[in-house]
Amino acid sequence: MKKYLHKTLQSVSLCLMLAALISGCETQEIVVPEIEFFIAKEWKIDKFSINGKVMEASEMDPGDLISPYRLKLKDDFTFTQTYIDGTIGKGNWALKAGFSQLILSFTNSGDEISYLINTLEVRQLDVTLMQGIKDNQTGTWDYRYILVPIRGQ
Amino acid sequence: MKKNYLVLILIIMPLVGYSQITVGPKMGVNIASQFKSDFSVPKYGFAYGAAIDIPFGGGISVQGEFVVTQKGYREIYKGDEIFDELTATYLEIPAMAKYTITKVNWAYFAQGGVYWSYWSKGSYESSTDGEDIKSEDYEFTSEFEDGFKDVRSDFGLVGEVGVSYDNLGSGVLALGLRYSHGLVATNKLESPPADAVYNLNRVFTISLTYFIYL
Repeated sequence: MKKYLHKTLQSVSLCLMLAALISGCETQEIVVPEIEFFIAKEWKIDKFSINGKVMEASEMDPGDLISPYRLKLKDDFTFTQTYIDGTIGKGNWALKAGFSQLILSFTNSGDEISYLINTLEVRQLDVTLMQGIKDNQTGTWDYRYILVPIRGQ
Repeated sequence: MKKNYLVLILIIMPLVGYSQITVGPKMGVNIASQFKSDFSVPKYGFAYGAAIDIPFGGGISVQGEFVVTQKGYREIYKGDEIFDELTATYLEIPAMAKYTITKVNWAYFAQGGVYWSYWSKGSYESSTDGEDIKSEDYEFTSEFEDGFKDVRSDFGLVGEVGVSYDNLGSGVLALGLRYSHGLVATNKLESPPADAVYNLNRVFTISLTYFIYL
C-alpha cells in the first residue's frame, strides 16, 4: 500500500510540475479585429475642462452635474449615453481617421457627435469635442473630457 | 481553564515527540489568474515567507505558513506589447495537513488544507504601445462606488505535492507545486448584471522551502 502511494505521489508530482512548466513557457497571442480591448467599456467623467480650465469631478457639488454622466460603448459598436440630467441617448459608435476620432451616431435624432481622441489608455480616455460649442458673446468653447472606466466590468 | 490546556499539551506532546518540528524560509514563483477572457494570460509573481512543519508521526504532519504572495491578472492584446496587469499583493496564512513518504535522503509529500489571506496592496501596469508603460496604484473601494467595491479578505482551498531532500546537514530542502483556489470574489457588485465578472484568485506556485530542525 505504502509502495503504491509512493509511486502514485511521485508520478502526480512529476506530471504536475511538467504541466506547470509547459504552461508557464507558453506565449499566447490573441488576434481580435478591433480595439474593443481599450474602448468598449462603460465610462464616466473624471475631469473636464472648458477652454483649458480644468474641473475635477471630486471638486464639484452633487448638483453640479457631471457625476451621473455615463457613456457605455459596447463591443457590438452600439452605445448608451446617460446625460447629466438622466436622459438617455442611444446609437452606434465608430473609430475613424486612424482611430484618432470617436464618432457617436444617435439613432433617434440622427445627430452625429465627433470627439478627437487625445490619448487612449487602458484606464483613461481623453477626448475633445470637435464641434466646439459656439456662444455669440464669448466665441467658441472647447470642451475636453477625461473619462475613466466604471470598475468591475 | 489551565487544566484544559495541560490536558491538551499532554495529549499532543507524545505525538509531536516522534519527530522534530522544522521551520524555515520559503520562496517561490506564482502563476496567477483571476478570470478568463479573450485576452487573459498567466500573470507571474513572487511568493516568499516562512513555514513551520509539526509532525505527528507516521508521516503525518501539519504545515503552517505566513507568506507574502503576488496574485492578480494579466491581459494582452495582439502580442505582449499592449497589456494590462494587476499585481495584487496578499498576506497569506495557509494551514495544511501533510503526508510524507520518506526514502533514503529523499521524501515525497502531498498536503491539502485552507488558506486565509488579506489583500494589502495593489498596482496596475499597462501599455498601449509597448514602450510607454503606465504604473498606477490600485485604489481600494471599501464602500460601494458606482455599484462596485473591493473585497480584501480571501479564503480558499490549497493543495500541494512535492519532493524533499534531507542530506544537506542541518536541514531539509523541499520543492513543491501548489494550487490555491480562492472561494471569495475580490469584487462585489451592488446590482450584478447577468454577465457579471467576479474575480477569483487562482494560483499555481512552484516554491523552495528550507526547513531547519528546531
